[in-house]
Amino acid sequence: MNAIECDNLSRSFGSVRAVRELTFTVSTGSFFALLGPNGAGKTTLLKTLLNLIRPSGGRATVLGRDSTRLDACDFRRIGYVADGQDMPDWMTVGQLNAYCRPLYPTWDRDLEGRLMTVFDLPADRPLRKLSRGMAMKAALITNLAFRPELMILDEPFSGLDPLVRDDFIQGLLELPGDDRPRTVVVSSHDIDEVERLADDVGFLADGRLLVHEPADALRGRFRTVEIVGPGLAGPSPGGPPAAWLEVGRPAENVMRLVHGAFTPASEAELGASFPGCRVTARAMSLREIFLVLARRHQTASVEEAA
Amino acid sequence: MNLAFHIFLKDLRRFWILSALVVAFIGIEILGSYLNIVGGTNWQLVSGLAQNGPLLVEFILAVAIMQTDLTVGDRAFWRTRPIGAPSLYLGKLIFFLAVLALPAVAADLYLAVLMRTPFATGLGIVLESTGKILDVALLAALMASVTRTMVQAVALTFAVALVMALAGPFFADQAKAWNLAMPWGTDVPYPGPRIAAFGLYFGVALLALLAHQVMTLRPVRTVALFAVSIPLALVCAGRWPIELRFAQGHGDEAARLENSIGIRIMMRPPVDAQGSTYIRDTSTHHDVLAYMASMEVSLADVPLGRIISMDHMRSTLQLGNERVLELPAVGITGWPFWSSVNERAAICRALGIAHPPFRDEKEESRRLSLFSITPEQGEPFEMRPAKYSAVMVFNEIAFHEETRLAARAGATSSRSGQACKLETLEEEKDGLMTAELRFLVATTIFVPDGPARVWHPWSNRRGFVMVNHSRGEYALASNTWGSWEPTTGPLAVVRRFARFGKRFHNDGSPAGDSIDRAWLGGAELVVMVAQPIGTFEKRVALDNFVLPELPVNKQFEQAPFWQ
Repeated sequence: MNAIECDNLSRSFGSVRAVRELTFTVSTGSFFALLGPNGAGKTTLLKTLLNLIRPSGGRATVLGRDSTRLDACDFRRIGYVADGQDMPDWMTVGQLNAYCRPLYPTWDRDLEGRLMTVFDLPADRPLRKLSRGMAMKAALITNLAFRPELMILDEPFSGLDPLVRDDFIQGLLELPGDDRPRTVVVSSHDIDEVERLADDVGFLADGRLLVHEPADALRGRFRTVEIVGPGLAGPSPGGPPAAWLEVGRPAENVMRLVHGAFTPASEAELGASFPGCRVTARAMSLREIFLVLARRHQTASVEEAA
Repeated sequence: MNLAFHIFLKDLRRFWILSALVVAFIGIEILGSYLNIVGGTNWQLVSGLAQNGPLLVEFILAVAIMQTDLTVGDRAFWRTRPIGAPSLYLGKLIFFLAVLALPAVAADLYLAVLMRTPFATGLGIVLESTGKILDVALLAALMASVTRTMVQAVALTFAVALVMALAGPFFADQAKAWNLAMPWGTDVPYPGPRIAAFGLYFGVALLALLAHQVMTLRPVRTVALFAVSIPLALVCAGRWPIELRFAQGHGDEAARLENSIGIRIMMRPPVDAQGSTYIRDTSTHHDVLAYMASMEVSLADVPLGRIISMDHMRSTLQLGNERVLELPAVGITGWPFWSSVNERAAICRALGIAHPPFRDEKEESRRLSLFSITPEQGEPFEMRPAKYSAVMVFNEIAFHEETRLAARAGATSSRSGQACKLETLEEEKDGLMTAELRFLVATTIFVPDGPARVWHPWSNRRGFVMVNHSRGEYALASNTWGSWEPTTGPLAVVRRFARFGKRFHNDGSPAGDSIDRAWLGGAELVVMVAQPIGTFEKRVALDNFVLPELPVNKQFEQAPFWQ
């Protein structure tokens, strides 16, 4: 069963189409990283999934329920931490926990206590007097302590210093098995932080989901390829293959490109295509892949507009 | 329910200072009312605080309580927590009832008991005090930010003012061309019940809008519906006002004078009667200058001690069987028919004593503007005998005893939602005695007989009589005047002065030219008040009604056509 299923999900704000006919699933138990530049539609998508805003078209199910019918009972199973979410900042951390405790039948006071220790939060300090990172941690505690089946985090790392980020991730993922949320969806443009966590990756741009596949597969099919040798010809009449991205010639006998459909056989095929040349393929990080995809989408958008 | 209570406790913890302030201010209001009613001391600080303080703090708290858990927008904390809208608003309702409504209602009930307020008035006061806070709370629930909305409202007002300054004449011409008119009467003597009804209908609309917002999460659509709901509530309030009436019952109210009263209209207008007005020309939809045809009108055969006042009239001019000119209805609420002679006779009649001998018992006639007509409208009728027909609607009014109290300074009385205190009783030269009275009226906009007294010239009219039972004498106030004071909650405060001079025996014969302290020792001050009994209609038809030649010059400085 999938934790999230979207079927042609759309959301427009006037003439601005923030989310465009998205169809994808997030399987239960996975860690799904929703990547994309600012304004890509990540927050709108997550808010639509949580019934904070209504879709303009299509539908989505969250934990088996139509997203537009999510009610109070469903939020006993869903955690949500977002940058910019209103918090009762007049409450102290302890009061916030006390306020949330009766709302969740599955609230675990031991887990709450452990998280308070891990995060090193002062229980008697009002939220408004906490730093942004500490406030996010306080919000995370109230979302983890009831062991949500689905945890949705919207830009949780933006503006946090590395130390706090580390704490945050530790709190989120380094909990023992039952304490961890079953499914996690994180939207971010901070790819480095989610790289080591993500099982699946979705790349959103202009409301469209350009890529959605397991992180390992994505990392596996993207390579930076450098071809060095005297026999490099000019551009072929039909142009480079579609899987070749960002083809460049930094020097006369050097060609660099990003291969978007790299397989173990690809290196030998390239060697055959460029006899006498040295072909070197290097694995890419999610961050590098993200940048390539973002630049490619940007170029395509400019060309489309032109 | 547990969740609602949990939310209530959360809000109470959040707003305990404001809540305490509300209770404190309501305490001040009660103290102010107590001092006003019982102590009779006008403690300015308490009165000032009690006048607007409680309402202001209640409004602030009502707004704060709704804005702390927003319905509009997608960032509210509660929206992603296991808190359903019904539980949330039930929690808010508990807060509203416990912190805002309960103290306010308790204060109202205390006041009602203290003032011996009739049930209808008491109910109106409670509805008014809680209803407006509820409306404000519901309004706040529909806003993403009250501050931002207020700034937007101010900006919008300036923008509209600017547009109207630049393009106002064009809009005015268009409005005239479209013949825009309010779909409901606006010339009601007291709009209180309509304002109250608007508040009620608006509250119902706000409740529906809140439900719409919560269920659909479509703020733009909610705002559009909100814009529609305001005129809708206005129309409903105009059509179906809510009036809570006092139980009538003052002895001889069944009396009707319509069969015995005659109308006299003098065809010659008074020499100094001239004036002009603007009336709407139905063909061009423009306001045009018109002359007011004022005539001496008198009522014949009105028995002394009875009071008649005109409510409104409509009339037509007809030329043979052909041309009929409908003359606009004239509202005449500010036009009392009765004379001071008749008023004093009416007071005596209500008290069962003979009125004093009046030097001139003739009924005084009053000048009445029968109709307004433009030269163009009147032209076909000029110098030609026409038939003037009028339907006049009259109010019959009677004085009845409002209260009575011992004729000594400091005496108090309280009944039917009204308290009265005789503050001072001072002897002046020439044996005149001036009484200073302070009236406190528990009013509500639901009850026309409350603050409506300000608008009805006959309804706030009071008569004052000193009655000495042991001597079988009385003294009528020869002169009265007064002023309004700041209100304390639902208490309207009026200060009245009445001057007494000559004494009369109960059979109406003179008993002396002055009153002294010894006479006052056994006397009571009786306060009489004029109240309507009912209306009746009279039809007048005048044949050979000739309009003189109309003036060519429309300047109203010119002599009117009838001179």
